[in-house]
Amino acid sequence: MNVLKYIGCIGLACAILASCKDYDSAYSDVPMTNNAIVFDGSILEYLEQGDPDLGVDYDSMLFVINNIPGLRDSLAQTNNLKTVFAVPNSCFQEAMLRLNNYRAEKERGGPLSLQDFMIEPFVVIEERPGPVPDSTIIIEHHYDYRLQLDSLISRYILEGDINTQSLSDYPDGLDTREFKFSYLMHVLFQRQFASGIENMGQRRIILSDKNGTQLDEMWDRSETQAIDIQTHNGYVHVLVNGHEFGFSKLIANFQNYGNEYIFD
Amino acid sequence: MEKMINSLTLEKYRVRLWSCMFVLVLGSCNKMVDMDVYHAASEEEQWSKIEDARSGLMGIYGLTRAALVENNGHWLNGDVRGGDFTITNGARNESQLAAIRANKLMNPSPLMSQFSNWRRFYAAINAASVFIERAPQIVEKDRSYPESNLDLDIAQARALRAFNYFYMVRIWGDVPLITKSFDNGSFREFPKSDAQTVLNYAKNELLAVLPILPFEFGSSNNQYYGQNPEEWRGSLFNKIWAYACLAHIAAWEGNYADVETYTKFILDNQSEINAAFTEIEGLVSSAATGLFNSEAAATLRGSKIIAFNFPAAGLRLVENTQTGHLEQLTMAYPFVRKTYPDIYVSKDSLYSVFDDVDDLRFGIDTATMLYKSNYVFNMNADIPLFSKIKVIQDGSNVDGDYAVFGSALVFTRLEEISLLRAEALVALNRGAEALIPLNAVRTIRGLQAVSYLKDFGQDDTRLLDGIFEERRRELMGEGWRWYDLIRRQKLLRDDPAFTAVIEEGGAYWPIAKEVLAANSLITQNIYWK
Repeated sequence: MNVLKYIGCIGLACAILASCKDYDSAYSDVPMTNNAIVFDGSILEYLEQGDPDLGVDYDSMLFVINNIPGLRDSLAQTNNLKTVFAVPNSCFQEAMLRLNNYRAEKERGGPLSLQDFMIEPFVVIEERPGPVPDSTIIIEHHYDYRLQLDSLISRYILEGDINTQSLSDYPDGLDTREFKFSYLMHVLFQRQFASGIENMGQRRIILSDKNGTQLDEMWDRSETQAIDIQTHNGYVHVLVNGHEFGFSKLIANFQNYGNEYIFD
Repeated sequence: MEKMINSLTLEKYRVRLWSCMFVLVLGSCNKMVDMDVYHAASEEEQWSKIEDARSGLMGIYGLTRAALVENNGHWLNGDVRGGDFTITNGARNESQLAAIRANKLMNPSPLMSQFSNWRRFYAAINAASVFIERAPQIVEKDRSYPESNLDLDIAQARALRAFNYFYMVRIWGDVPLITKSFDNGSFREFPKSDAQTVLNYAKNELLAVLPILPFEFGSSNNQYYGQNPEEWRGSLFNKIWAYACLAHIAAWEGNYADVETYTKFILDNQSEINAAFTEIEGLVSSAATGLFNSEAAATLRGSKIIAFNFPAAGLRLVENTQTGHLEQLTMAYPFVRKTYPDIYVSKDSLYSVFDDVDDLRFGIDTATMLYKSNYVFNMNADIPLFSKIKVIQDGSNVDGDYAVFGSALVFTRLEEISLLRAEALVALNRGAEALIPLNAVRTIRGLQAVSYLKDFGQDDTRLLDGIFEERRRELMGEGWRWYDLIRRQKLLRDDPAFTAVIEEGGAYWPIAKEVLAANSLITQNIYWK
């Protein structure tokens, strides 16, 4: 009889244990555990290798980094820690598709690729009749598409090692500047609501382009699909595949490409 | 032997015990049930003062509102079932939302059985019938309640009852037509009436009250229930509302000649109720400058046609609720404390539906060269928020920690009526004329006016398709898409599968088990048997 009771107790305990379920939901792929994923290599090596676990590659991001002078070198530095928000290829595809669709609809020229922006700066000189007879006004238009692309890609590279541990001290998010042009960005670490269980909600980091304003409804936000990837020279967080590279600002920067000589 | 005696005496005690208990239980009954109710107003006193008339009338509006918005039904039926919204993984009631989207409505969950139960509509209909029967006796008892006022009230009650019947026919097809309150304790069973009979009844009721219903209620020196006309604007059933309801009944029947007549009257007389086309800023603003705010400014109120408001008196959130608004489904961080919305319009849909970058609703802003945030918030997330309607609390700039909403249910507005008119004109083979109401909507939304010859090649099929696409863009999130798809299919017949579903009755909802169990004369809709 006693033996049976014991067996019953053990069985019950097993059943209760087995009934516990994993709280990872379909909401996101970000794991709940606090442990950073350690990548044995530098940030550049991580980007070059891609992330087979997430099924994403960073060829486009690397193409931009490699073709803008100085960018690769600053990412290779080992004494200066950086935080990179890795932009998967799909984000570039989406952004270029939007840009090219806009250009097609506005009849601004054929489809562009990232390669087209990798050109040296140039100046277009416009001559207009002046206010008095026989006078001309000379206007110099400076174009540097590579620099514009540089300013967009730099928004994903921040100084210092920003991770969930350090971000936990900033419940309203961390106002920070990107490493090169000191453009204002905002990084928010958020735990999703876990019905009152402390430190148990799903986690995400939101990277915002502040668009030069403090009004947070004006910001462009992007979420992460993987966070806290620790490399030898800083942290990498991976943005979601639905992000649009350049925070939807490719159209603003490049829609007039190829029409610089047309003045209005 | 001893044991036997023991058990025998025990038996005896048991009987005594039970009889004692029985006596106690009987004695505990008192006449509670027979006592007069003293904490609620009695039926005799109910219909004796002008206040009773007012509360009775407002009650019908409230019950109609409740019938439309229960479980966010207006939007789940109109927008989710229409398929423009995607359901987020892990959303609240995800499987039910997905079932509605896929038109698989025989789902045993409580939410679905609440949807398929028409009790909520008959609550409003019965309240209207009771009002129509009992309100006249107030005139004799209360001299401050004039007969002219009574006529207005009864006209509204009849119009609301007709509107409820029309709305039910859109959902269930054949429904029982009950035109009296039967407020005498009898519970008669009614069979289903043919949908056409119900619509005819609704039409005749509306036509009968049209001469009585005014454009605006009262005037500043002859106030209606103590309020100026602009206070009642956009919340009471006026003449234009009745015409709008008639136009939609006619459109549902496919009687486009009537649609043409009624919509013409509305567009010709829009200024009588201070209605106008709403600029995009007014359409998407959550504050009092926005159409969907329940406390919209007096200049905007008239533009709400057949609307049901959730008034707030400043930050005293009088009638604001969590459920019963599109925002409960579409809002999330950073507007309210919710990580992802339940439903959203996917980026692919947005780009394909809004195919013109100049569109003020969703397009590229010419100054900043960024996507406009009018309909959609944050295109940089995987799940953008559909933010066209976002009245949090009273719509002033408050944080979303206390997520109750204050958006009004606006059944129709002039843009919708204008597009309905365009649809009717094409159906009547007057395609060239249809361009005027279509372009009126297009130009106010920043799009180029289109030409019958150049853009549509004088092809009515393409024009009709264009009109329905414009409706899709303009009315997204306002509960129209599913019904538009049905009318479109009846006119264009380009999808045989969908035509078959409509003809077999699959466009209707099944009838709830509770209804079938309570009324032996009701049979399940054929498609859902």
